[in-house]
Amino acid sequence: MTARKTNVDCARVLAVSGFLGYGFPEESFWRGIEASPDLIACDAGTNDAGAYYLGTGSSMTSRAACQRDLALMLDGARRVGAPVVVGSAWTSGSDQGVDLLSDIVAEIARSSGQTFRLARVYSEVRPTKLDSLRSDGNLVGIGETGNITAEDLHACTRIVCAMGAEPLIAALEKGADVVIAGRASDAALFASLPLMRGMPPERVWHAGKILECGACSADPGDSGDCLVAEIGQDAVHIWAPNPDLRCTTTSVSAHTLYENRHPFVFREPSGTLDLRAATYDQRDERTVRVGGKTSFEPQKYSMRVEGAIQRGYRAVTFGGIRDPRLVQNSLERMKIIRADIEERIRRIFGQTNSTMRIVLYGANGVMGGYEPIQTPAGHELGVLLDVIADTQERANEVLAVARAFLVHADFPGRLNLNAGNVAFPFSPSDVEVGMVFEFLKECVVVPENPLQLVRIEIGEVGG
Amino acid sequence: MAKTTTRMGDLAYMVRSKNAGPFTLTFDIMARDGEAYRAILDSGRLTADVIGQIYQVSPDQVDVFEIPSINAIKISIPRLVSAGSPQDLDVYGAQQAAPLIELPL
Repeated sequence: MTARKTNVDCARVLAVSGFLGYGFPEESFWRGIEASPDLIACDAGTNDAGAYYLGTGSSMTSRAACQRDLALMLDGARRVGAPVVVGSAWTSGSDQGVDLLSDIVAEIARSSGQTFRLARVYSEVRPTKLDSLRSDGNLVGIGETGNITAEDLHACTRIVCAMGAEPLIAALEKGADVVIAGRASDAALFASLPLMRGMPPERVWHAGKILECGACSADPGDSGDCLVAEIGQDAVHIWAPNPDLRCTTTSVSAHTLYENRHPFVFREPSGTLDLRAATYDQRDERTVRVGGKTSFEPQKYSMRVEGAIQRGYRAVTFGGIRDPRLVQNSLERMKIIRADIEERIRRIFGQTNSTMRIVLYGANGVMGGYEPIQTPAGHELGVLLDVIADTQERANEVLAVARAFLVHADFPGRLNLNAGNVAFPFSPSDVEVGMVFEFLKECVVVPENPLQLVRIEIGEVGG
Repeated sequence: MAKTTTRMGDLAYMVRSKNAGPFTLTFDIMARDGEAYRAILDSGRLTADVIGQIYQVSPDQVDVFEIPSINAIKISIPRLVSAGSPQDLDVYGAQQAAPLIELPL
């Protein structure tokens, strides 16, 4: 690493994009690097796409795309002597995800002849460990979910606890050039170094909330582009390195609404950020000054717990319906067809440990039970048959029967006799989807300290 | 001539739904301008009762936030089933705003 000139009265953070592997533009990145950032960071995870990624340890972005983004980040970081922090590795922040991204960092280091001090911060916690914290009253359910039981925890295939900035700071204080972290608060990735430098927490966390989706808070918003925050004592200045993107008071202030339950109050592991009195001023055409009497109230440290519980295996098929006699009164007719299919499944398999959904697109496929339009008007319908069973084989078997008798079912007024009720756009029609997961009920754990439930391993890579 | 009904979509330039974590659905409404924002609020239609009825949750589970500085309204409700669970129909919760876009004011 080259010696760097530290920004003394502010901390400058470059967020490369909203998600590692989204492929930020090189030009934007190098413009961001010209601003001499003190930290280059990116979020690599989300719980938005369901528990599957946590359950299986798989990623929503590819290895090749992550490698491309990381190689540029490491190159830029070396030039300005700034650390790189990536969190919620490989979508879910599993331990294997941390190792996988760390392997990519090591490969890049070797192939470019560089050496990095790499910190791996693991956030997986075993169910037995969490259960003992639960027994001591340190695991609490949120909202309507009620209490978490030992059975709930032991049903989980994998559990991660979302860390705050503290473990990242611990890694940086040990001299890490690169930090690859497991599940983490998105904002904490960007807050880590500025907090370590002693910048005001309310400014740092506000900046973190803005940076976490990359250039989403610019106009036009782009989660695949870069954003810079210059965090000072009294204010944060936000701008996008891409000259085609402008940060405006509306684009920046509106962004705090996105994907948050509350518009002004945000819970982080170490406390609560209150932005009710935040101010947004247009500094120049492309830069917004974010200030005001905001606050960060420290609270007893708590970590959001995310667990993935397997709910069997899925097989699906999808087709279209154009028969006007079936499209009319489709919801009523599908009830008749469903009853017939269920009877045939029982006849062949007896009791099956399976569930079947017949989802009618063009009727209520998107909103289900709370679709306000009771009489759909279209001339075509899409029909999804979705079977979940305790084994993949059983899901396939049940789907095969369900598909056959969706195709051949009789209904009042049918003219298309003995042909088929569904147009399949592909063959084979049945698709094996694999394992199905569901999230553990919403809960938080209160550890003894911010480092109790994480593990930090530091070593040199490359050379 | 029949009087035309003003709907939310006529007064807003953004009406969106999205997950706020796997257990919460959140709606963001941004009015076209201050006048449209007042008109939406003055209609008295964006209440916990109305939202609860549309999305089949009890009114005390509905949070409605007014954000006058940006002419915005945020509504958050619990999801009936968590994102990506076997019963879910919209993993990202991104297609649930239609009844609000069409809401008569």
